[in-house]
Amino acid sequence: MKFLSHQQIQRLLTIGAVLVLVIVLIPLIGLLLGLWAGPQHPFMGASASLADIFRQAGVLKLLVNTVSLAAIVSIFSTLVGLWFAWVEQRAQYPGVKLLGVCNLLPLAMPSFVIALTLRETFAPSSFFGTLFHLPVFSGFVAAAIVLTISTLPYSQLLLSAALKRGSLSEEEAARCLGAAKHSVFWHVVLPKLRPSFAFAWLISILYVISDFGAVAILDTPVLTWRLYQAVGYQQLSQATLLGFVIMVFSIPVLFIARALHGVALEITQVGNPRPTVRHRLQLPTLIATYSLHVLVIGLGVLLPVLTLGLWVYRGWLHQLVFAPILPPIVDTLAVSIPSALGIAVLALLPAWAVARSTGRYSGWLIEQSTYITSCLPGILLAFGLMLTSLFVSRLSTNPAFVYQLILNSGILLFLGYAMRFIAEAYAGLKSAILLFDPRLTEIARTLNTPVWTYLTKVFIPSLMPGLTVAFILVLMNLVKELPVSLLLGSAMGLRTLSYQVYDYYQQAFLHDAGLAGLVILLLSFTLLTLTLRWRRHV
Amino acid sequence: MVRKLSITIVIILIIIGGVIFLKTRQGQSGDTLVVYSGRSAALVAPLFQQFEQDSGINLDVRYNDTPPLATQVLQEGDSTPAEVLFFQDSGYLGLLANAGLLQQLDPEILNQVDPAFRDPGGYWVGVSGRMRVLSYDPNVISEQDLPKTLTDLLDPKYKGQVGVTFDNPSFQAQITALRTLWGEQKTLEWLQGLKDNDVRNYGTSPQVVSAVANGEILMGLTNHYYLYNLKKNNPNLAAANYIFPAEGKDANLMIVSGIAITEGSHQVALAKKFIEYLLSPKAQQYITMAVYEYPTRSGFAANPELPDIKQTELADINQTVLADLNPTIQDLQQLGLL
Repeated sequence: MKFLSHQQIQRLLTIGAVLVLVIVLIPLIGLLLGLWAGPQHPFMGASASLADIFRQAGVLKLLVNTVSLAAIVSIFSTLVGLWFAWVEQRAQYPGVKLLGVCNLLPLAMPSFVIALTLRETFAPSSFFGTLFHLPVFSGFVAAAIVLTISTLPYSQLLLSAALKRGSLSEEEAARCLGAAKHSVFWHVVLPKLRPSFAFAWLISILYVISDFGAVAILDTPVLTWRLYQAVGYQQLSQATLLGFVIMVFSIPVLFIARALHGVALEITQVGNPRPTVRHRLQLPTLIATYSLHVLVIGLGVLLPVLTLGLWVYRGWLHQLVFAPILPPIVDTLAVSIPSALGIAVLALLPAWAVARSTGRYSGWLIEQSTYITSCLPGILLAFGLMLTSLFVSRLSTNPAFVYQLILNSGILLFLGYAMRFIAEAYAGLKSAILLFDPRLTEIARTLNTPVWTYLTKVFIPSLMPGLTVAFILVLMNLVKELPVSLLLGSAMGLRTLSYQVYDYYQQAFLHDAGLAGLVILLLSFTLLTLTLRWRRHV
Repeated sequence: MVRKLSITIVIILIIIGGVIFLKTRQGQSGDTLVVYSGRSAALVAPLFQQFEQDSGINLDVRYNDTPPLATQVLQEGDSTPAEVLFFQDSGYLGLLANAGLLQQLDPEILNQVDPAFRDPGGYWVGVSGRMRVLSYDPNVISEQDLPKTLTDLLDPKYKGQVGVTFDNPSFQAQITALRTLWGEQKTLEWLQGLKDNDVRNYGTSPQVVSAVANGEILMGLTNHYYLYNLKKNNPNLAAANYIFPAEGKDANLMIVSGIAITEGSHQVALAKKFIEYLLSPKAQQYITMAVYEYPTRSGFAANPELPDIKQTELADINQTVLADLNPTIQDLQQLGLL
């Protein structure tokens, strides 16, 4: 098998990328079809006009809340994530590796679990509440804290992967030429981190825009929370309107991310990269770093785990019967692992196409389309997918059979997941591809290296950190994902662990909610540990 | 390395394929009943499992909230795989019956249930009932000092001390009932009064009970059974249930969870067996003793721990009106409460 020409590769990449994007845009088609069929409440008949809906839903106020929350969370998340990534890759202090891994553990916790456990922990009559005379842990500030903790691991992972693949030789050269440390950082390191920084910021913003669990628990009225309510109340016109407002809001966000991204710098180093040189931190910096670790791990992991553990302990103490835990574990693994693999592979096409794009607008269009779908809440996507499948089934001669086949095959579930999380896989992969030296491809082509050898010995190993990051990010999200699993997974009879936590907490079966929550954490921590060991190995 | 990864991926995909195959086969099996359940798995899954063991009939249960399930059935129409619908409140069953998507139940089934808890047209029966109550801390305020009517909650002395759940379907059902009992104008004025009195909105009903026990608020409107579920984990929980006296009976709404058979069901015999099982003394015993809800079987005694509804005047309301949710949501949004 021979190497294809550049034009052939570019053509294939673009076709593949467009195909991926058409697939992930299917739910939007379903929503439009539903809207076109008539903006009616399914039981109550014709709904109000769009202007009335806009006013009734209080869209402007919701938009202000959403923008404020997204801005604050994304800034804190990327800045603190950058620091954690930096110390993980470049600093030496006791526990750096373990703490770096522990920082990632909030990835394993659904944001609404962190929210409800912190709400209980800091309630006015709790130990902390009484000691510090705390008000109720709810509202804007509480939501900002919880969502910052939830998004911090994304930033750390993306920036850490970029630092790992960065060019240390250039930094060493700059230092040899007399540049100070901060100068090296600003003029050598930061430009190379810029794409990853932009992606980390973008993912944080998209996460906040699409989250509803934490904001609902903490009584923070934002767009997604109202959209979730609208879908729940079957106010389809309002749900679709809010969905479009979210999409429209995301467009300037994408422009800002593009401006932050800048022009991607290519690797200028050929040959073996220098090993990482780790520096000791000065005492004030060390104290600040440890404090940040304590804050993130304490609020994002320890307190939620202790609260969940307390619920389980009380259940055991009072001899309560625990609901079976094995079936939701099986269901969670059965959907999340192959879906994460599939989404990572799916995201490779648009990431590769954009990273190697020579067209002025084609790459940008593909990229924005990837992000647009990820900013929509899962509940809206799931509903759109169901409407699409119903429409498709009605075109056949046996609608009931076709509809059942679509539901049971899991394709809807996978599409829902793909729409929600393809942007996260894409971000990590694009960074990795940008840092891949294209001259290696030219060298392989010149030496007549077999394509398969090139792919297995050069290309895939080089992309492994990025692929690993993509797989981890998506998998962690899938293990704790709720709205898509709720609507589309339950249509298949699946009950995931996250759904178990949500359902049992709603009904005050705290011992069962606690057990399911602890299992999510254990599962995710195990996956994280195995995957990080594998990443180091390659 | 890549070979190992490839083998791993293939094995995983084979496992997944097997799971899908088995689930599809289960759905097509002759002794499998597809149930759309708007009731939480936390509450009813053990009951369903017991039915499977006792009857040998497999259940393929799809859980979700009642409104999206009802809409799903409406959208699916003849294509719906659902044989049985078990919803959190019966209003949506009434609407689906009006849409011609349910079939009438046999008199033998209907007659097992108290007339107040079944559809007059015979399309659904109630399986259990949930009472709207006022949760309060008896260590802080005595029952005699509690409000006698819902309007009393607007008293300035309760400013910032009352908790509700505007997002919760049960509270929305209560408001919907008030719209029928009081009229639109009075209900709007009451909601505005709650807002002016700094009512505290919580995300879930258990949070209202916890907030009462934690001292955040003095009292809160919720469903009766959350108290007992929370007390399982914390027997010393400082909270109790209060049912309004006769003069405030409009607050005493009993929300009935109903069950029905879809018009297109291919497993009518199995569906009837399932419904009869849920109405049987064994199932009603579980519902009232383990789930702490009110039984609907005629003459079946409720859990003695529950407030005695025979001594209570309930809100005089037809369950079907509880599905008239859209105007309630619009009222709440107009007032900025949602």
